[in-house]
Amino acid sequence: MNVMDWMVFPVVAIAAVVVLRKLFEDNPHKGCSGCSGSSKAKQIRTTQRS
Amino acid sequence: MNSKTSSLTALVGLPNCGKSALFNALTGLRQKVANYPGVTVECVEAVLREDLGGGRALRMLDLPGAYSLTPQSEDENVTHEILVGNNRMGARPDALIVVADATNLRLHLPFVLEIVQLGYPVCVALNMMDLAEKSGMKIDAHALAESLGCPVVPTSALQQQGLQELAEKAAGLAVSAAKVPDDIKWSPSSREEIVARRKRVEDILRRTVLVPGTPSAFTAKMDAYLLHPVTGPLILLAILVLIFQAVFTLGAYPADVIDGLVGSFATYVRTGLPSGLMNDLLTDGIIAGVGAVLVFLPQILILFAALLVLEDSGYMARAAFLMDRLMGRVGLSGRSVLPLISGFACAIPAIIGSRSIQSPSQRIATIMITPLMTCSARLPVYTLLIAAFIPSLTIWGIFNLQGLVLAALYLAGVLFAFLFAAVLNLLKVIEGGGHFVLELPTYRFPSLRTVARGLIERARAFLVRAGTLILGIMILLWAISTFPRPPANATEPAIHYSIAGRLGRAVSPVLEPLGFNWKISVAMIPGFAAREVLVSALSTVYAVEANEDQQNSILTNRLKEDWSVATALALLVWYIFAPQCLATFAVMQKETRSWRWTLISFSALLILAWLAAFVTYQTASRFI
Repeated sequence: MNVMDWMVFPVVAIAAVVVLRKLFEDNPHKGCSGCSGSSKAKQIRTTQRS
Repeated sequence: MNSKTSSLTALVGLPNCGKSALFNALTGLRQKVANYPGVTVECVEAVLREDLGGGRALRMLDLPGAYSLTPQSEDENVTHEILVGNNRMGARPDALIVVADATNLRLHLPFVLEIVQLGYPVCVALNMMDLAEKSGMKIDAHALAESLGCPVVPTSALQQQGLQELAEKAAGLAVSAAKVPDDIKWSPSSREEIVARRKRVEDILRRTVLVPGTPSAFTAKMDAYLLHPVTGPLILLAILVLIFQAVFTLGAYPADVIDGLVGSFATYVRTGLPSGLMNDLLTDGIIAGVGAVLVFLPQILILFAALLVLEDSGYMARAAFLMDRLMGRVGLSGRSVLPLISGFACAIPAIIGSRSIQSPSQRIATIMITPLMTCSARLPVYTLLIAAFIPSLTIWGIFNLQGLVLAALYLAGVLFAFLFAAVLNLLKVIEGGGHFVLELPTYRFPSLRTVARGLIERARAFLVRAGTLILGIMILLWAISTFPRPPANATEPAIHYSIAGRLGRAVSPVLEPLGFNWKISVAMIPGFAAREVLVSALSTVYAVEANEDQQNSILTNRLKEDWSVATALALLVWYIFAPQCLATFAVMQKETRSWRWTLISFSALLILAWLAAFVTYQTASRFI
């Protein structure tokens, strides 16, 4: 294998981190194609109250 | 930013008076707006001015609409808690902008009076003045300000009128000496208080509305047909069929262009780079996988454009009205329709939007059936399979068969959502009917700015998703489809020996009765992260498996060679039901605060998907 081929392993590791972060982030629908709330706006969480 | 170094002004008012449109116009943000009530169900905050003087910033809070301070639903409760509750939800605002619809002051002024009585520093935004003037209405804003005892600013969020003055007034309130009383006194209004408030409103209207407006004759004429018990539902059905025809016919050309560009780019990379693992990762994993989803961007944007136009024109509220009677038969009401319709875009905001439903059991039932509404993530799956297996025939001279099949899949989702609700109703899960009161807004020409902003926002979100989650999943899928490498004496394609190949064959026995081969099984596993990932995953799996002759063959041709029509039909039916979006169920659990209902919904949909795909495959393989 040449040096370029070895590069696929760090790429795969970075992809794993990105996917895990995306799947476990607090706001899973941020960036969803159907949702339209602005990413700059701060959503105040209102579902956590007792 | 803490409350000591900033001042907080909240926008309050009845649903659909234009609070979010004003919020967007004042802050430059892109909070969702639409021409029907109940779009905002949680608070959104943004900075209006960085420096009011003395290093203090002015923050603005967009509150969900409420008809009074006595909450009837979850979203109204948010407004109640923040204005008069015990402060569990965050800081109390320092001042309020009460937004009132100038075209319907009789409805809006009682709430304005209730707010003014609380003692907050208040300013009234008399919004939709452009529509009021268009109807011939003349309002004396100075007299209104005198009657209410607070400043009144005529505005039009859509026409960007009065915004500067409103922002100045908001800044003025924030720096004024007036302060929010430490102890806000509020109790639910008695019948006498409500009657007295109504009398005062009539008195104010007599003194301030100089010329009453005339109702829109156009709206009345349109509603005679659009809300008619016979023509109304037929027109609604025709609109839906037209939208799906447009998705196929108009979307095909730009989709072909993107497909060609992706194919050329893959060939350029494949031939330009030395062959090896990196070449395979770029062409089979990244370009094939992400490119397969990008092709569907035009179709998704056409669908969204249609939904945005319907929302902004005022038709969506009519659709809810038309569906109310039908919803009543399964224990729900028209109040469930608006969240369900927004489920055509994405189930998650639809589930959150169900907070505007008053009855808790109706709300849970609406949440449980929402995943059956065909979200935009299913569109790439449906479009790919229909393009590959359904011939492009013209029916009755005007309809395209592929468009009709797409419309049928959407309608099947709606139909099964009704049936699911009917079962919940029979099992006595849904209790208490409640009344459904809906304001029907005047029809208006959709705002090009609102539609364009909505489309840009959705295109951006789609591309970000393709460039992050889908890209990451495709790289991982390529890795598990490539390693471990095949043995020296391998007789099967390399993917057969990989982790993905083994995983696919392990899952295969469960999915084989549905006609799904092991490659579909492999693609379905990452598809649980998001539905459209199936398309990318199929593209990657078939690209990794391809021999040299097949490398330039497009995905639809590979599927046609490898699958029967019965398999494709079964997969289409699987996707009507399959609960393949874990984020939806995470939000469902948060909103219902119940693992029980979440697991029941997930399991029921999974079992339904399997049974329906089984019946479809077994039936279709006998006849086709």
